[in-house]
Amino acid sequence: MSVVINFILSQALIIPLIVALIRIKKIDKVYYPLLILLLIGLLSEFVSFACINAFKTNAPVIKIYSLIECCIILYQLYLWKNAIRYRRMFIVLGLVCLIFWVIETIIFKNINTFSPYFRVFYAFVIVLLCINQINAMMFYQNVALLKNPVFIICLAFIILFLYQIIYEASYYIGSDKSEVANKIIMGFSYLNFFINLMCAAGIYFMGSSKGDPYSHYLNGR
Amino acid sequence: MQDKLFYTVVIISILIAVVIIFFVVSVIRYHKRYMQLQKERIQAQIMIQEEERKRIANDLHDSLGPMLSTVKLFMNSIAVDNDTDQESLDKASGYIDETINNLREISYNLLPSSLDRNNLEMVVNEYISRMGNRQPIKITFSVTKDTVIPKKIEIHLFRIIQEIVHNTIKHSGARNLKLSITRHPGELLLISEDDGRGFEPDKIRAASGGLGLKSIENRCQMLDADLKIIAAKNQGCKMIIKVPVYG
Repeated sequence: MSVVINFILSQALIIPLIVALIRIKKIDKVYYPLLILLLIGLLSEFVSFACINAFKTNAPVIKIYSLIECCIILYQLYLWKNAIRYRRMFIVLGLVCLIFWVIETIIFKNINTFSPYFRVFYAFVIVLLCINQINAMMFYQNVALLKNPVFIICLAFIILFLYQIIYEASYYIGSDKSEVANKIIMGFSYLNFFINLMCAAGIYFMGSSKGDPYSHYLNGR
Repeated sequence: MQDKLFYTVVIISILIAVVIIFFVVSVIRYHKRYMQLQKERIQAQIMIQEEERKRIANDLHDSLGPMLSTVKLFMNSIAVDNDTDQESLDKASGYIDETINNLREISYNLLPSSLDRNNLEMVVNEYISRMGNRQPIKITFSVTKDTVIPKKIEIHLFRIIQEIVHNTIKHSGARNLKLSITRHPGELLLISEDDGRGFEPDKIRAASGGLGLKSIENRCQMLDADLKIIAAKNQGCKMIIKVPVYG
């Protein structure tokens, strides 16, 4: 698949952003980190495209974006968790991720090369947190899950980051050395497109403060 | 290259296995917490119900009862010469007597106050004799010798028996109803058996909401008891309730 098609598929990020733009007044503040993440994602796609053309690599962009993505998603999950008692746990997780990133990127000085460890690590952490979030919702909330933005987005995260773990492993093996790895790497763009559609659906169902199970969190702070 | 591939696959498989295990453990953990929450909710509902029944029973017994007796007293003190008037007074007095009896009955059903003073066996026997006098059904109740029923579960067992008797009379058309409580190591068995027309529990639950059955199930859940219903159309109904007794 050419870089251009890959770039076009990655621009599917625009779909949830357009939905968010249309519904921005109706969306509760508790979802803002996710919207900011989408914006940063779009920006990183443009910067990556420019870097590939200029320096033949986008590794630094991907590395910095990974750290930002990890921190924002952790913060978003903390807000959705809606419980102060988890604050320390999320801070510790954030710090562990940050230390991991610093060791991998700064100490081992490989900001210009792709390495899978941090991306696999934070993907794994986010998958576990999302599973926990979905299970808690299934048992405690009296809402239709398929229309619940938190459920849809957590599900999207689980699919995306589980695939990311396999994708990074495939990248580590090398697309030129294994046909399967090559197919997995190629498939990521399509999966990314599907995840963006799921995010758009999630944003479509994001409600205002009224009737939103999480709205009292921000209001009560 | 082969080693790299092998170790990568192993590590990824382990990560995915951890994710799956975490998912299962998380479901189990939340389910356990949810069940506990459900139990506490039912417990609170039943306690509120009992308190409300107590309040209504006391109100009926303490205020309406004496008031009706006073009305009757005043009526009896009225001197009338006319026979027709006397007949009307006697009739009214009879109705007041009936109302007082009904009131006592309702009050008793709402709160078997004797449960505080007597054991469950005596209270159930009293209840059955009250019911038996008015209904064309033979109810027998037995408790095996030396069975000690913890005081705190007596009210729940009584309510379950009350519900079973009520359901049997109202729906089953049975001629005989056998109730028994037997003691086994660590548990009590409450067994009811009737020769009525039977029913299909799932259908009853789906069709009418099965309030009586739901009430029995709620009490059982509160007592951590197992409820087994063996029933089929025209084959009577047998209920086995296994209540764990701690300590």
